[in-house]
Amino acid sequence: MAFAAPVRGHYRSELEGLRQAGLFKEERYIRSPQGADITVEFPSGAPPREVINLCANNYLGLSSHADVVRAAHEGLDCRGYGLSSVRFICGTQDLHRALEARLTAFLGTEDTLLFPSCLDANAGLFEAILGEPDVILADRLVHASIVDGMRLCKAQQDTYKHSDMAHLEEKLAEHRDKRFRLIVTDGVFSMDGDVAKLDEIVALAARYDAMVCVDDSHATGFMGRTGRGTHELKGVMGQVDLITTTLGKALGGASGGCVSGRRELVELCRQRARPYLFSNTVAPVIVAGALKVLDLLCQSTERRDRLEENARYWRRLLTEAGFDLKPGESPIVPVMLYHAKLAQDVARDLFAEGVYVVGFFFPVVPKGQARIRTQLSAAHERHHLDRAIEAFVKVGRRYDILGKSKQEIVARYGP
Amino acid sequence: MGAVMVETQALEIPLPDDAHPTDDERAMLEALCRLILAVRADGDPPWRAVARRLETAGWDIHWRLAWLADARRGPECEQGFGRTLDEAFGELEQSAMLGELEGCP
Repeated sequence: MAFAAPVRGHYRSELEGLRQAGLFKEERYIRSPQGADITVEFPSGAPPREVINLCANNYLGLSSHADVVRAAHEGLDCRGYGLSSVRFICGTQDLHRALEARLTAFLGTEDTLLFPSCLDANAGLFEAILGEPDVILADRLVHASIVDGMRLCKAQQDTYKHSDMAHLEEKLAEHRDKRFRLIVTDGVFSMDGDVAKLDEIVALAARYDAMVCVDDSHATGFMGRTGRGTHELKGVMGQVDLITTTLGKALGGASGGCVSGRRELVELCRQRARPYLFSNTVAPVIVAGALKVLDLLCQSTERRDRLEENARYWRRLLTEAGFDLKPGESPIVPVMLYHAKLAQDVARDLFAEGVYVVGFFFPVVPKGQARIRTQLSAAHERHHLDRAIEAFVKVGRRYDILGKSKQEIVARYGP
Repeated sequence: MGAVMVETQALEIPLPDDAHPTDDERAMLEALCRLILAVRADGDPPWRAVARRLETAGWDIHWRLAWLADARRGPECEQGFGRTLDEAFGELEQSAMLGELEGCP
């Protein structure tokens, strides 16, 4: 069918609908490497300006680390740019197996399989290991890619209220007749920055004979004393059956993800997971960089320690200034504004003051829960956070939201 | 030929004047009529040919009546199937619930 005028008109009106609803996403062009300070051209065509970056997943500040970049160059020189193949045909190099072994050791699991992304890992995992007689029980705030993976799987799908262990137990009891039960949760929830009650989940799983899967994308590399992730933080290393995680955040931030866990489950993914079977191998340059990242993390906890300290400091600055925060212990610190337009206006004004943050609102977060999600990095120095809080206070005063409760903000700006 | 016969078959059930069936009761009657037409259709309706082709391909075929519940909201559409309405709506609710799980990047 030709792309006739009525067809084009339909899609134009769809796009216009997104604009009208305030849901149209605009890219900001970054003209520097990723870091605590970045140079941004926004809006398109505007003179580039340097801003403090508080919205990257660059938790450990390794995205542009000299050693990682050097290792990536070496990988490029030694193993080439690409492999032009999926893994199981002619796309597996010694580097891929080395990285899988290193991730297995780092996460404390039995085996690991790389995927092009963690989205792909989540999309392919469930279909590969579960079938019609089984059930998946997911926390209601899991990442969108887990939802996609659940929809692609024949197993029955059910959910439990966010971090509500009593509700999870009720659901586990309800599904006692199923062949296998798989509990799925994020380790650190990306919207609120709160941490899954993984110790309680593992205990419930043992009582009801269920498996546990954690998406630790916002935790791997820094949560827990040595940065292994949420399972280390909650004292259940070795007791989580499956971990999915990403190389695209703390671990260098390029791309790639993995499924790590029980040997048989990982092997089944290698045999059946469609994003692994039908998508290209992770590029050697990324694998080489990720191997260096793991070297750095195993040598010292200095970066995750600094990140923890930065998160604590930033949370204290915001609290003392009178902002309304979601409580938590992760480097994701959501500043609650409740009202969608207010969140967008505050983010825009902060950008003008030299701080790069993004407002999130429905449908990314529930209605009436609009916020600015700030994310800390080990790359942040005290001066970054001190300058950022000055901007937050200045803009906060402008909108008269400092020291105001949710009710007061909603009363002034609407729900 | 069989397909034509199926399409032209019809069952009519006259209801007493004082019968005021609810929507659910109408749906039940319609389902019963469709069931009778499906299993008593003369000739070789297309669905039987599909079943045979799939059996030849190694599929073990079963079929049964089920409820279909669907929900629409703007461009969104979710469906649930079940042998009982409770099953169908339970599945519908789960699918709709999954659709609400948007999440941050």
